[in-house]
Formats: sequence, structure tokens, C-alpha cells
Amino acid sequence: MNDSTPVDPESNDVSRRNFMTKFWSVIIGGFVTLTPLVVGLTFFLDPILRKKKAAEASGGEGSPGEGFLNVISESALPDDGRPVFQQIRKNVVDAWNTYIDQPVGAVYLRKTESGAITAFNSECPHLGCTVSYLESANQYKCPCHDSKFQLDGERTNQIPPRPMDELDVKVDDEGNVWVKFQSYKIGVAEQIPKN
Amino acid sequence: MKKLLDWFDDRTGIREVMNEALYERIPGGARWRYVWGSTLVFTFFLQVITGIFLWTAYSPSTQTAWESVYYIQSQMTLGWLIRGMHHFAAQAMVVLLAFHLLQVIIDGAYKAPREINFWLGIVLMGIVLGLSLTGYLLPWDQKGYYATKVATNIMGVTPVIGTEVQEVVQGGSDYGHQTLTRFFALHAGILPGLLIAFLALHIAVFRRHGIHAKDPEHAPEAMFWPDQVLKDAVACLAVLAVVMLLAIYKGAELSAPADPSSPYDAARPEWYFLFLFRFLKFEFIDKFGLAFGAIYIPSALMLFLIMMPIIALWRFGHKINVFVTVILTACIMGLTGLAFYEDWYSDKDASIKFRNDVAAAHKAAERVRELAEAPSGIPPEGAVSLLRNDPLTQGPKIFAKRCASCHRYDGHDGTGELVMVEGEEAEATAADLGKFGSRQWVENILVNYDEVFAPTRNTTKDGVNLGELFLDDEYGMAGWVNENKAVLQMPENKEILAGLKEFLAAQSGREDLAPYDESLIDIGRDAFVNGTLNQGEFTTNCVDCHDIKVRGEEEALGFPGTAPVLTGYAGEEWLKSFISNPGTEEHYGYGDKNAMPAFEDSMSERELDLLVKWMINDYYKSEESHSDESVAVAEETSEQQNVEVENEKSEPEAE
Repeated sequence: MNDSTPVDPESNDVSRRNFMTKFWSVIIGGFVTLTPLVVGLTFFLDPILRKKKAAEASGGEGSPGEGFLNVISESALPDDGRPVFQQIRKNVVDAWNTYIDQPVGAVYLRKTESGAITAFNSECPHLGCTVSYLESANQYKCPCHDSKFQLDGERTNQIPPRPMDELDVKVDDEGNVWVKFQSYKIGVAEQIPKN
Repeated sequence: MKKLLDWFDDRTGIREVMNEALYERIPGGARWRYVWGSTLVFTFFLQVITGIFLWTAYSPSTQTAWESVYYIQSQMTLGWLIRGMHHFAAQAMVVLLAFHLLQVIIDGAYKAPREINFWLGIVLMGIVLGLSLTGYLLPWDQKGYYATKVATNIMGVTPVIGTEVQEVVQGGSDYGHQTLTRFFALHAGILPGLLIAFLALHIAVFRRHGIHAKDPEHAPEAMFWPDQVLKDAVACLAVLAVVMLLAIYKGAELSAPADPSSPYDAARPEWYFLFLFRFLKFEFIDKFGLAFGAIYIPSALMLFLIMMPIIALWRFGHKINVFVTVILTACIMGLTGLAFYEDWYSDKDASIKFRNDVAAAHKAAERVRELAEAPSGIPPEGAVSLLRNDPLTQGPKIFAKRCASCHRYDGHDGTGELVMVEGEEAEATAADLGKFGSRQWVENILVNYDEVFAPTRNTTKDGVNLGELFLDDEYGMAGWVNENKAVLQMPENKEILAGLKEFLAAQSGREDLAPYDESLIDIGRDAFVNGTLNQGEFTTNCVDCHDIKVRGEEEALGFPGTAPVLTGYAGEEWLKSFISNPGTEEHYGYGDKNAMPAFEDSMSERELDLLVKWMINDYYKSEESHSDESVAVAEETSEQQNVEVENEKSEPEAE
């Protein structure tokens, strides 16, 4: 490599030419190799990229009414404040398929003393089992690990990491109860929406 | 750094390997004519990369193949690009393969001692063609499905083992889930594996003999690295550029989902197999049977290719090889060109039909995409059900099959084709139903009755000309129109006519005719029931003959039994009832004018529903197509397909 002592303009030229040839070979070779890989990896990262795109499109908070499901009629909720277990069904999209009217979870609905209606996701925030309502104790209890909650969703023991997940409820003029159904990440103290 | 390299080299001998790989002597210097092999390796690399990524999203089954490809193509990030690259790189590979082969033959690089490598190359060519054939089916669209069927049917006529080979390849006696899983395993596993193995051998043997220098005195000897590498890289860049441009500006096609019950008449193999396709269409080839043209002849050509190095041992052998190759290349190009010309430029009936079929296929492909993007999406049973249950897709076909022997739809058979009998356009014998039930239709009935039912003069009922029954009956509708059309067309009664049109159209309750003008409906109702006009009077009022229960009213008006009941006229229920049995009391049963058969026994409820929903334009429309009036769209497309219709159209619809 250090034999640049002889002053031969031609050989200098040749070595510079040789360097340029190598340089461009590597650049072009690298480009043609990387292009399909970059395109492919972008494609593979679709689940992440698409989520971002969807979030941007929806602009954060959904408009009122959006995402609410008609679950039950107000008159079906007992006045004494006992909660009602109600399955939630909606169209489920899995990649290219749309499955019409599928069960996606369940909620506890209840009319409070003030007449307002509350809804809780029946999924236990501890490990995701379905919480039961114990009529005798008038509270919620998870059959898996004994997480216990009051009717307002607050914990009565420290097994679950957070209270039951409360959901947005609306009642329309015809007395239909609409719930914005949402599942949250299991096992953590904060409420982190899934999907 | 150097230490690390030394350490690594000591363990692996990497330097020697690299030296051997890169410092290959090239007598006569680096040349552009040597790039073909490298571009082929590059396109294969491109196929492996894009293929593996497509693999991460593809699902091989008859209910998910098209759907997952659709999802890749239209929903996933850059999916269209990666699929386009894979699609066009596959074609680039075949083209480059042809160049590589031609160059090897013309330069004589196949001759001893390189025969073995030439044969390895032929094996590689077979594998590449196999990859292309198996890949064409995987999207499970109409195009790939019906084109590949031809290929597997050709396998089936192979002497002795044909049927067995076909069944093994298809995974059964017909196409299904197993065809896709097998083709996918071949396409993504077995064939690429074989390709890699044979490619390794091909390159190893190539290195053993070195490059076949066309002209060693061309330039001073050079090394593979970097002189030839740069040329190879530039050639690969050109290939990549072409592939990317095609992927971006042309894009890989995805026709409608494969439907075994709906033949695809525009099926063609990939363009590089077109010559064989065209060759098989020659009558004199066809005469010898499919196996002759599709198996024996191609096998003979392959045999010739394999024999080339041996033929070349003879004094004039190489010249003969080159000569035959040139002739064959010319034939292949000629046949390909001929096939293209016949499909796209010729005026022959078959060519026009092909282009119509292609247009119809594009329409179906667009339609299924529209339906897949609808809120109801693609059901679990697959996208093929979207088209099967779509009135816009099925209605015209049912009309063509069941109605068009008498009726027309804007002059054609519903699908855009003219109704032909023995090469001649057939005469209609019943009304053109293209605008049935619309305001225009009502106006035509009220003032152009003769024209609407003019086709009935072309047929008879029980020996009597049907036109006489319909049009010369002075006590029937024809007589009424003759007596009253002048009054109705008076400028003073313009609003009355508009009112009658509105009133009758509104009876259908059809959404495609909405919105309805309530005040016009009232004017129309008044004219219909009481004969209220601004000028002149009716000889007979409508309700004097027609029974009707006006939409939204409880009480029936008029007298039953003298003329068709107009309750819900031209709406969904009315149409279903009429088509099921037009001869009943409420329809044409009051007289003996009915010549239309009852379809209640011969048409399934499903068919009837699809037909009627199409006639009243009751089917899913996307926002875009909704805004520009679906009727106009349907008309436009049928016009594009069959321009002649416009000119030859009879005049019942004239304004």
C-alpha cells in the first residue's frame, strides 16, 4: 500500500480509477441490496406503522357517539342498584375478514342511587378472568385470585393492581343504554387501552 | 482492526474465500456482455427478499389467499410496492434468463468443457419457469386460477402418468385448498431450495472453467473485483430501476377472486408463455391433439437445447445451433407478437370478445374491491361470496340468461353485449327495460306507448301478432295513449305530466328514484284519480281502469280486473310478483295479452332477488360511486364495452 514513492503519473491515475471503481461498486451494490430490504422491513413493520397512522387519522379523542354500542334498555336495569351482566357483541375485524356480531367481552351495568348508569368491564384488571357479582356480599369477586371490588369498582383488597375499568355510558331519548366498550392492559396499575 | 481481522481470518479463512470470490481473472477485460448471470443472481435475491416478506402476510387457502393478497395490496404499508416488485422481478428474471441463454449460445460458451454447466443452467431455467407458474396461481384470482388450470390440464395429458401427475400437483382431482398449499410449498420452499442448490453448482462449475472470454484480446486482462463488479452493479441497478418503475406506475394486477362457477373467458398465461398458448391455437397443431403441441414439441425443443454441446462437437455444429436458436427466437417473438395483436388490435369477433371479457373482468375486480372496502367487509367464507351475492354483478348475468331472449336493457343484454343469434343481432320481442320504472319510463308509457312496445310486433302469441294485441287495441292502454297523448303534451299540462311521472315513480318506493317531490306527487295523484288537468280532459281517467292502493294510503282506488293493478308499481315487491307470474289477475291476467312466461318455478328466489335488486339499483355503493349516480356509471361502462350498441340502439328511449 505504501509504494507510492515512484512518481508515475499513469499508475497514480490507475489507482485512483481503481479506487473510484471500488467506491461506486460498493455504493451501487449496497443500494440495490438495501432497497428491497428497506421496503420489506417497512412492510413487515406494518402493524406499528398502521397504528400510528390510525391514531393520527382519528385525531385522539373520538367524536361523541363514535364507538358506542347499544347494549341494553334502561328499563332492564333494576332500580335497587343490582348490577346486570351483559355480553358485548360487535363486528370484529381481523386483518382482511370482518366477523359480524361477535362476542367481544362483557360489562356490568348498574343504576346508581342517583339514577345514573355506570358500566364496568367485567374483565379483572389483575389477570383478565371474568369477575362475578356476589349477590350475598353485594360486591364483585374474581373467581381466579379473589380480587374484590365494591359496586363502584373500587378495590377492597390489594390483589388487583387497579380498580375495575369503568366505561363511558350514554342513554338516548328512547332509553337505550350505549356503552363505549374498551379493554385495558391487564396487570398494571395504569389504565392503558388495548388496541 | 487489523488484529481483529487477522483473528477472524485465522479461525475462518475468510480472506482466502474472499480472494477467491473477488479475484477471478477476466481475460479481455470486464465487459457489459458478462453481466447477465449477475443480474439473474440479483433478481433471485430480490425475489427471495420480497418473497419472504410477502410470506409473512400471505395465507394459502381458497378462502384466504385472494383476501390476504388483497390485504397486502391495498391495506398494508408498502404492500402494493413489495408485491409489485415481486411480480415484475419475476418477469425480469425470465427476460434476463432468455438474454443469458442467448448470449451463452451465441458466444459458444456452452461448448466443451462447459457442457455440464450449460445443462445445470437448463435445469435452473426449468426451476425458474416452475416458480413463475406456481406463483401465478397463489393470489387465487380469476386470472391466475383459470390460466393455471390450463397448465395443470396440460400436465394431465402427459402420456401414461398424466392423470396421476396432475392429481398429485393439484392435491386432488380438482382445485381447492390443497392446490394452494402444494403450490405454495413448491413456490416458497421446494423450488427456491432447488434453485439455490443448482445455482451453487452452476457458479462453482463456472468458476472452475473461468469465464468464457468472447475475445481475449479485447482489452488487458482484468479482475472480477472491482472492474466487472461495477458493471454488474450498474446492470443490477438498471434492473431494479425497471422493476421499481413498473411496480410504481403499473402495479401488479389482482383480478376478482377465483370463482369456479364463473368462467373467466379472458384467461391468458403470463406473457412469456403466450407463444406456447398461441402455438396451441393453430388448427394444424390442434389436430394432433393437446399432448403433441403442449408436450412433445416443447420437449423436443428442450432436447435440442440439451443436445447443443454435443451437436457443437461437429464441424458446423455451433453454426447450426446458433442458426436454429435464432429461428426459434424469431418464432417465439413472432408468436408472442401475433397473440398480442390478436388480443388487443384485431377486429375479429374473438378479439373483440376477449377485450370485452377483459373489460368485464376489470369491472368485477373493481367491484369486489368496492365491496371489500364496504363497512361489512369480507365475510369469513371469502371474498368470492361478495360478488356472488352482489346484485350489480349477478343481475346483468341473470338478465342476459333469462330475460334477454325477448327484452333488452338499454339496447344490450344487460351485461353490455348485443344479443346475437347465428351471427346476426337478434330482434327484441319485448320492451327495453333499461330505465324500467323511472320517471322517463312512465313518460314513455304515457306518450310513447307505441315505441315502448314496438318490439312486440316481432313475435306472435297463439298465432296472433303480439303487437296487434298490445298496440292495436283501442280499448287498451295503446288506445288511451292515442287519444290522450296530445292533451298530456300540451305546454299547459307540462306540470301535470311531471306530476303523473312523479306520482307513479313514487308508488315503487324505490330509493334509487328518490328524492320525490311531494307537491308534484299531489298534482299527479289528482290527475290520476280525478283527471284534473290545466287544459283539456282525459277520455278516461286512470283509475277507471287501474286499481291502485296509493303508497301511504289505506283505501284502494279504482276498479280491479280491467287493467294491471298499479299498487307499488315497479318496486321490489311488484317486480318480484310480476316476474314470478305476470299472468295473474293483478298483472296481465285481465286479458290475453300476456306472452311472458311465469318464472316462479324456473327461477330461484335468490336469482329473482338479485335480478330485481339490480333492476331497482338496490345494492351497495361506495361514497364515490354513490355521488355520480350509479345508473349513469353502469350505462357508461356498458357503452365503453360496446360502442356499437349506442348507434344500433332502437329509439324507445328517445327524449
